[in-house]
Amino acid sequence: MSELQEKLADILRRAARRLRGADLPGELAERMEGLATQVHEPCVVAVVGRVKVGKSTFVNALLGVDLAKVGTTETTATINYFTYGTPDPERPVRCHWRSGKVSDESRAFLDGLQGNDLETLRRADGIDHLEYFLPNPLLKQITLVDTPGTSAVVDEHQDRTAEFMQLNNQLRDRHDQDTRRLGDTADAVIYLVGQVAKVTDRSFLQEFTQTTGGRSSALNAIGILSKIELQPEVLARRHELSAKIASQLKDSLNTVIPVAAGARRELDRLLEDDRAGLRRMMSTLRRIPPDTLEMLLDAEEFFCDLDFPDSPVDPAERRELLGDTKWGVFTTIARVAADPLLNLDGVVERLEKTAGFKSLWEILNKHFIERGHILRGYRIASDAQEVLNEVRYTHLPKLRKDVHEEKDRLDRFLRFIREAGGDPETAREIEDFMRGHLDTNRRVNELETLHGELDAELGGLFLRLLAYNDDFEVLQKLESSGGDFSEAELAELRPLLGLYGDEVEKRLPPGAANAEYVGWRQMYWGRRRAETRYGTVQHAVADRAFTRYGSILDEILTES
Amino acid sequence: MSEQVASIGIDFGTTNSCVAWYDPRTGGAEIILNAEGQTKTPSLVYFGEDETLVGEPVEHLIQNVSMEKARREEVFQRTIMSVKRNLLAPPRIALPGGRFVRPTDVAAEILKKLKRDAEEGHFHEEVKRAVITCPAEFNVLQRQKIEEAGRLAGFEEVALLEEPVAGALAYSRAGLNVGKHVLVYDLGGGTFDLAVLDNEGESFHVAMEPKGMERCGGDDFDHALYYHCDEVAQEKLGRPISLTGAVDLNFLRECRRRKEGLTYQGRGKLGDYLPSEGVPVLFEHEVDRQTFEGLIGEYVETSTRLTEEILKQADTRGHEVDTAVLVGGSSRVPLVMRALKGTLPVEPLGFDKKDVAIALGAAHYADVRWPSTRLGGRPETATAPLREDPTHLDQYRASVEETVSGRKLNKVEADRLDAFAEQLGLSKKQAAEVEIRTLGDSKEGILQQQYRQAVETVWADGVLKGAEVEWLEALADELGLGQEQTSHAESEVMGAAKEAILDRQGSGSEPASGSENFALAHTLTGHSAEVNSVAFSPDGQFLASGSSDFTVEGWNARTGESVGALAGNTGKVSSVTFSPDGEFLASGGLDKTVRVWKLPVGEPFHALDHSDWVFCVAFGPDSRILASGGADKEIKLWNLKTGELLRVLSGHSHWVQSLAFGPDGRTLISGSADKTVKVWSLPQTDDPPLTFKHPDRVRSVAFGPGSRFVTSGSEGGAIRVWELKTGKPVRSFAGYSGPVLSVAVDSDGLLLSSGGSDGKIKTWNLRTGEPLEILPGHPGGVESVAFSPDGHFLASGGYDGTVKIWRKEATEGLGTPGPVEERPVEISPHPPSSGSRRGRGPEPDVPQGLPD
Repeated sequence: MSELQEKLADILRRAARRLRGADLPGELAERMEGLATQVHEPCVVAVVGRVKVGKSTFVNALLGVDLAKVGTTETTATINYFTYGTPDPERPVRCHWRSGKVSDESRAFLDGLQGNDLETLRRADGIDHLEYFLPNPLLKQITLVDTPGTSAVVDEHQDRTAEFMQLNNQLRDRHDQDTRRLGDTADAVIYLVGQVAKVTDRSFLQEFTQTTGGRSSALNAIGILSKIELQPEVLARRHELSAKIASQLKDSLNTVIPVAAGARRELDRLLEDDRAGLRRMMSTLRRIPPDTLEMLLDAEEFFCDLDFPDSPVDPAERRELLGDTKWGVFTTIARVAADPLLNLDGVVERLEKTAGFKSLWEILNKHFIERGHILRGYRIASDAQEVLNEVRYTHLPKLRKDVHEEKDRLDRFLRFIREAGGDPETAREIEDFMRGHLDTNRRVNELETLHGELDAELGGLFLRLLAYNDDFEVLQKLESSGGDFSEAELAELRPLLGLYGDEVEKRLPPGAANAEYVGWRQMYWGRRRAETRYGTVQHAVADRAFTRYGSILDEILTES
Repeated sequence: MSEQVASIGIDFGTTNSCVAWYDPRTGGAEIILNAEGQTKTPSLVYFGEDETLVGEPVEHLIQNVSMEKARREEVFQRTIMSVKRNLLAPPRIALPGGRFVRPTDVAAEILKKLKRDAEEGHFHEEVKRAVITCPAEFNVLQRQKIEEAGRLAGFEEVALLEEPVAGALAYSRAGLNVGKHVLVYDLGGGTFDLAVLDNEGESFHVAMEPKGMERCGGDDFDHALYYHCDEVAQEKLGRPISLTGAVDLNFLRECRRRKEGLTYQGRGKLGDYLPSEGVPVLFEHEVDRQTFEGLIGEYVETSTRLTEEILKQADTRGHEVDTAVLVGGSSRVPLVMRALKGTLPVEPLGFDKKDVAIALGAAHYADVRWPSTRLGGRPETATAPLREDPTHLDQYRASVEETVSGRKLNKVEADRLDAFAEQLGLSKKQAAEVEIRTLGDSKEGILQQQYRQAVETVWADGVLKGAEVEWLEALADELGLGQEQTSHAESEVMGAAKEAILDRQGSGSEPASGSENFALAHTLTGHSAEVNSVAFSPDGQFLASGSSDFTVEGWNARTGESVGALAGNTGKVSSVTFSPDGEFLASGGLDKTVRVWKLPVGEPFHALDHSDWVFCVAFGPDSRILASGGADKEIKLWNLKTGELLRVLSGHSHWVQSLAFGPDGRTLISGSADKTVKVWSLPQTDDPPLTFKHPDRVRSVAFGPGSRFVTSGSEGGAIRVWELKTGKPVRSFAGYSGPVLSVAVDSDGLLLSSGGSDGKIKTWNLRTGEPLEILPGHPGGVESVAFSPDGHFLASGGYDGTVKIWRKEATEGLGTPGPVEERPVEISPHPPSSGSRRGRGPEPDVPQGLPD
């Protein structure tokens, strides 16, 4: 939760309180309150990948739960949303129909959506998406959307009736559209690449390009190599590979992260019951002399069948240890677990690192979720401004009018009293009394003051949020018409406008956080702005760069 | 004014700002002109290394900055515009040289200049309070920034006022009934704003959320026209208007002028010379109103759509609009008026000060906020609404505003206004009321005031001379004032009518001294078209004249006989001059050629090419360098002997109309239609030239008096003497309501002579600034005047095709001219030896009587 979000929620809550205390319709305070709660609404993270890429494994790994266990199963025909909440055991899934209806459904309903036959397709055809509730705290921050595999092709042995083909195509088109829509609106889209047949850089790149379908944008797309543990060569070269892919696809991917989803899942299992599984594995493997173990880990057959006369761990025990874990996953973990230089904590730490999910979360958080919250915060703050504008432009004028009329009446009464004759002493007393009780201007002044204070309080924050939003809008413009700028300019603008993080250091080249550099660049973009026509992308970008450098400059100068 | 604190109302605009004050004597608000004599100050700030410029000077700087890339860029980096849009972001702006400013610093500089101009030009005391206007939708933070800028500018008290409220206030305080609910339609220079106000008697309040559009206003109309021309230029010339990438500000200005023209005329021609790497290219394009309206149609449609929306919302909320108040200069555009008439449920109120209404309203509010002690009651005219046919009154008002600038008026203009008022069916009284409301005085009052000021000028020394009387009579004639009126002014200033004063002086001790009268000696006829230039030979024996009949004619200056013509020009001759050694004569003309003839015979010596019309030629004092200037905006320096082009001086952004060398040969001055006089130091010309800014196009420059001053005459009728070193104007000569075509300074630095389009030659005492004499000159315009080197003769040429030679009559105190020497009728073969003659010897250094 960012500081900005906390502040926004706080301001809105206080504004709601003060509006409630004022002489105003309660609806205004309610709206303000509603906005305050929206601040914490989760961001949307979508997972996109080709069929059979191992999306369930990845999603399981990302959320740290076994979705199959909690009642969800992978379906190839629906889009699945995972949101925070507690599922009703009887009806664990909420179905959002294309008709707009919503219904809570049972396990049996889900079972009917498994498979790749005509019946399943018919059932799936009416569904917009399914919503699963998980009490997973991570889902307080994000709503995870699992999309059906893209470019699903019909297998040889599948139903080939006309209706099947038609439905299949329809569904695929719809899901493609939905996926595209998600790609535009989600705060982050994770493009998943599973195992690639060859470890050549080219095959990885091809796979990625196919997966993203050329429609991803560096604004919110993250590439994931998700099965790095299945080939030792890939595991060894994972950072090199991902850096390479990231640089080749930097226009369509923000970053590329290698993760070992299988290892992560396996690790989760080993860590259960106070790391019981891992402890057992470590103690078992460490009984085997290192040279022997190395030989055993060379191949699954060796590990399962090779029998040594005086082996401390016999094949049966070893087979049990392996269980049904994939061999690549197992060896990855086993090598770490057997490392005599590591204690239990060390092993966990090393495996966490290899799994890569920690850094994925970090990046998701920093680059996308936080930004998603800020952009949402901007929209919320704009709505809050609207509420204040209503105070200013509807309720204040109305109050003024009332007060004006009241004043006229007061004047009329006072005239009447004066002209009525009678005891002058009493007349004066009545007059004082009425004036005292009809302090007409006070109400207007109070409301004006209230509005001014709220406006000022929200204004400063709004300005900061607006700046982020403007940055983001210009980033979007850059992505859609990057050709108008040189490579060097793009390399300057993307970080400047916050693509890789909000901190000043992330926005500037290394060592450039000084007034001299920033001032120089601001002048450059000021000049570009003067040389371009208002209304063009170039002008908008130059103007934004000029402004952003101005903010950074202010930060630097204020600090020093 | 003395016991109360001066306050002003400021319209702080995105593109222009404007200042007004509340005049307690009249109960009206008045615009205060800035130091440049304009109602509006461009909201531009230039942060130079050691000076900060604001407003028009910045525009000049930008326009005149050379094409050299680095310099241009730096000027742009140091110039900050539209700061009103950026009060909150960016919070800092970097300037070259490691300087950083905040938006409030920039805004404060603008406010500071407005304050200073009001103090120096109007109040003559400190202005401590200001009402500053801001858009209604400004939030608290933006308002705080404006207040902060106001305090930084030195105001002790600052009050903010919302712009639409100011606009409505200006209308209502002018006596117009704005009703209960007012729509304010504000189409200014930079933005478009709409607001509905509740009129609560003593104040207005914004009744509902305002609407508007950023980047919709006069500037955008100018740009639309500019980009239209840009496309046409691409088609016609295969190049854009500007080669630098940035908008060509000179051409943008041309677009603005044409836009304004299109308000009154059906079509207009745009044209300018576009800078390019080599020869400037002439671009001309005619635009009719329909095309222009097509260009701005989108803006106007959006503005009317928004107007419809806000009207509808106003209706549903019970704020049915009673009146519409138009604010901002662009609301005058005919298309806007037409579109609005179809949209508004009511006819917009007529008001002649739409473009300054916000400032006027702010001034009124200043009086509400800090009430002034009224000096007497408000005169009836100030508050009584003019009810009779407001549109006619408005039209007349607009015409009055247009005709009378800087409180100057002549008889012809006054007659024209009378005729217009009659045409509109206005009574004398109505017309006068409009004049007073618009100008603060009736036109008769203004005519008399001008005369009165002239009398004050001549009476400054307490002596009335014969020439001064003549001068006053000519002025009275020009102003159309009768005996009664002139005598009245004279009595007020001098205690008696001028005749009585003359009588008194005649009977007293003081003769009409210093009457250095010129008498007509010869009228030379021989040219068949207007004479554009006359020049004396250095020995004073000969005179050359250049004419639109394509010839250069030589004359004997003493006898007035022709000594022959020099043929060869294939276009109108605009300038002739002798080399100081007397060996050469040069001419320049519209055949784009500078021609040099070898004297005495006059054989062609050089024909030097310019890329465009040549307007002026001048020899260096050592007779080795020739300078020429013209429509290509450049000054070319030539080696006289070889004809080789030595150097090109560029920097003027418009025609170079006049050139003169300083006596030391190291200084060249140029006057240009870009409204500047530039001082170039030779031979090191890498430094940018010193630039003196004229209020209008400079037609003629002359060196002198002495070596420390230069004199210039402009097409707006200004004659100024500048101190060469500092560029400070030290004297100005009033007396022209039309263009000054030529100025000449005699070699003693005592006399100034000027020729104008009024056809008269005027002479002035340079020391005192007194007018001396008015000579009947040349009907249609005096194109050129020149003093003989000894100062005893004056030559003039003009529109009537004649050349006139005037001889100084025997005078007191200034010596008498030498005996007139008869010379053979041929151009002298003898170069004059400089020691033997006056004029090229050492000159008096400081002309006495000039200030400082």
